[in-house]
Amino acid sequence: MIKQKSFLYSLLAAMVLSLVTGLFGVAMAAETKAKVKTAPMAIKVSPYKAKPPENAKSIAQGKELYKNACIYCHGTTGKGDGPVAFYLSHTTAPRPRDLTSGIFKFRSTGSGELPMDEDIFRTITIGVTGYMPGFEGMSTADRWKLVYYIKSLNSDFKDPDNKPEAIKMVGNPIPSSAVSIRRGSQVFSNFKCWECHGGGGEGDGKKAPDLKDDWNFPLPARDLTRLSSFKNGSAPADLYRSIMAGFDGGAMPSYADNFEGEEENVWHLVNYIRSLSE
Amino acid sequence: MFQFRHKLKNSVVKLLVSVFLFAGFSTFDIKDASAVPSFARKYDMSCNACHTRQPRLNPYGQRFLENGYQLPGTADGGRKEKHLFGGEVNGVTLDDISNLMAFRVRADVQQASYEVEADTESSSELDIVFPNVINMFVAGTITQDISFFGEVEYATREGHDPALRFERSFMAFDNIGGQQVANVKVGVFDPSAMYSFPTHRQQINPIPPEAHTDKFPPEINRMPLLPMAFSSKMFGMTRGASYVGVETPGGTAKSSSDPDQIQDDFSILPFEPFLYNAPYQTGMSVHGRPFGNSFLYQVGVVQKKDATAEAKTRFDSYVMMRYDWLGEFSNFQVSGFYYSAPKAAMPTVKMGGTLYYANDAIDWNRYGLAARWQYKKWDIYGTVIWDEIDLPDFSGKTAMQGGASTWNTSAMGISLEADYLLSEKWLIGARYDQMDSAGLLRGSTMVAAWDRDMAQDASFLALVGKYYPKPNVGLYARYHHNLASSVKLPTALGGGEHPTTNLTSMIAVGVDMAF
Repeated sequence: MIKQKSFLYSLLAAMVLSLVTGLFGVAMAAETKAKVKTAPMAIKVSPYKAKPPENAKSIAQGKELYKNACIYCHGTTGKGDGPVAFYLSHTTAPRPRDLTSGIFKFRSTGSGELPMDEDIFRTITIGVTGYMPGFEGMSTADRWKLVYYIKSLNSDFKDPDNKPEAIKMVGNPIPSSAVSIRRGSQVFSNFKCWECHGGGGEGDGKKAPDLKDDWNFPLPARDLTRLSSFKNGSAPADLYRSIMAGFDGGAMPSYADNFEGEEENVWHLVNYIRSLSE
Repeated sequence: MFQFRHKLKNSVVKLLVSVFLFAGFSTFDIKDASAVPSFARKYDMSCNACHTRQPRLNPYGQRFLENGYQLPGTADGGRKEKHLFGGEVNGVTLDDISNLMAFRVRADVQQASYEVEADTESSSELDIVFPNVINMFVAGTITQDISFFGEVEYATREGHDPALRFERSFMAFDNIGGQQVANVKVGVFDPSAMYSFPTHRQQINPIPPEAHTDKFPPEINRMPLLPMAFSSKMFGMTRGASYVGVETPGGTAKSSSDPDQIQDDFSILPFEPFLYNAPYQTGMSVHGRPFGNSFLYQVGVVQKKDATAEAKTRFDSYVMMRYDWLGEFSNFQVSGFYYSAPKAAMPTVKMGGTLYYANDAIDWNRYGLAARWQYKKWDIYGTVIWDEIDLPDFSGKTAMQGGASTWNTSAMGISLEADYLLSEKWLIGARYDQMDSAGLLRGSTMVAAWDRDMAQDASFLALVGKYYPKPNVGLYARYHHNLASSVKLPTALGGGEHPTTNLTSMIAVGVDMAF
């Protein structure tokens, strides 16, 4: 009798677990679908007005914040050699950024230039999908202080001749349409984006296996069919920035020169890339 | 959900089955398992941002835990909008459920070899249990600096019947008095979660004993495989109060053959995780880093029933300190704790089939030291734990009532493990466990057949290999070898093989995945 009861309880428990698991699966599927179909709010370059003064005090405060929030990956000296860096990935890129090197991947400035303060702020805020969390939960003032401390790790930021300038965003996002997507597809083909990203944009181009970053770590080409995995954001303005600024230290160069005078084509390309996830 | 067990006699068949199953797991392409557990989903992060490899936490994961499931250095539990790349930024949706809920499934195939009837024969058993354990976690933040955790476990091996039960469940109130100053946790939780060698989160999952703890001495059919430093180590101890019918300490003895007089968990198993290292303790703790990042403090109380006949509420107390050091690709930490459990156990002697209690319950104190060193692909950690009890008081009793019993009041355990990442997907590890037991040594020197220590030391060596096709899916093979299996006891001692010598070795292959 007791055994029978236990069996019934077990069966009931199993059914409850199965039900919950099933609901969970439905929830996950719904979430994935939602992620693919919609875009995040674009984070503009300079919307942040409550900027605290940049001085020795705020830099020191930023250092304390760094020791709490960033040190585990970026290391005690900012060289990207924190104890967690190795566990994220020790054979492939990306590794945590060496903040002393002056090479910043996510910029709105030209290739080889230092980033704007806002670029660093943006990366701290939204994070890097899969690798770095977004620190939206940290106060705006604290994030600025972190920016100041990060800048203090490289003396080039103090050089007045090295003042970074944002690339110009020419035109506005073009509403997505069949015509625009077709034109974007032609641009994708003409500029041989498929060599790395593959014909279907799945990151399986013929050059993809050989891609490496500046530190000689293999670097997979982005799967453009997974909008939610874009590290530099997936809103039209984010993609425009990625194409025009490139990823310093990574494998993707800046295409600013190639598109000079034809910036409209960038917006078509943006629409095409975004259509790959639909 | 089902369980089936086979006893196959042909060892070749057993081996083939094991190899086949392991190979099957290894080649299984889990394409749909790109989903990762709830915290990783919430922050769009890889599992390895917080884990060296699941389930062990790296320093960042430790700090995330300390901060009440909020990113270190922040109090982000209060944010109403959760950033999602390519997703909506909005309020409560199904998405939030997946950010709060996670599952962990463990299953394995075990081949255990036993010594039976002293040293005259041996046998082995193949045990297929699938799935072995399913845990459902619900965890997250309610608002800024208020977090929660709940866990339900469905296990097919713990008892003899599959059972669903609540495990850890607590609320945490964080950053009281300022960032990192004081974090208060209330509920059922593992006190050692922040110790350098936490009870949970071993690369080698504990395999519990098969034992009847409602009897004394407990009938142990299979020794557990867990960090032995955490074990209770003391032979001859009971939870006293759960033994219905005890009149007064030192009063009338009861026969263990009377089942109505005995409740579950009567015996304190010499191998069970105990005190600071018992993973499910009801109580409250406070931890923080008010003096900077290097020092972590933890103080806490645990509420239990004492082992006296009155079974009064008792409060255990503990304090833990940890020092952290971060360097180039490295992390070093050292911890020490003290745990005090007043009247935690009732010493008991079984003579002639009858149990006799000491005159009073004894206090039990536990001390521990642990260290952990991580450097690039290495993760090395170990702990030493000492247990001290009062000398049991059998004064006024005859020799046959335990008056001539011999006790050792000091015990020690060591557990050391080294894990090495061969590649992004392969991890190997080795662990050594030593348990210097104590407690009841002899019931009486007057009985010749018992003229030998009942408390036996145990020592195990374990090897493990893990393959992670995805960061959240671990396939493993493990081997445990009992270094003390050559020690034999006369069957007169309790009428069977001693649990520390019983299990000679065990091979297991299985899966441990979280999603």
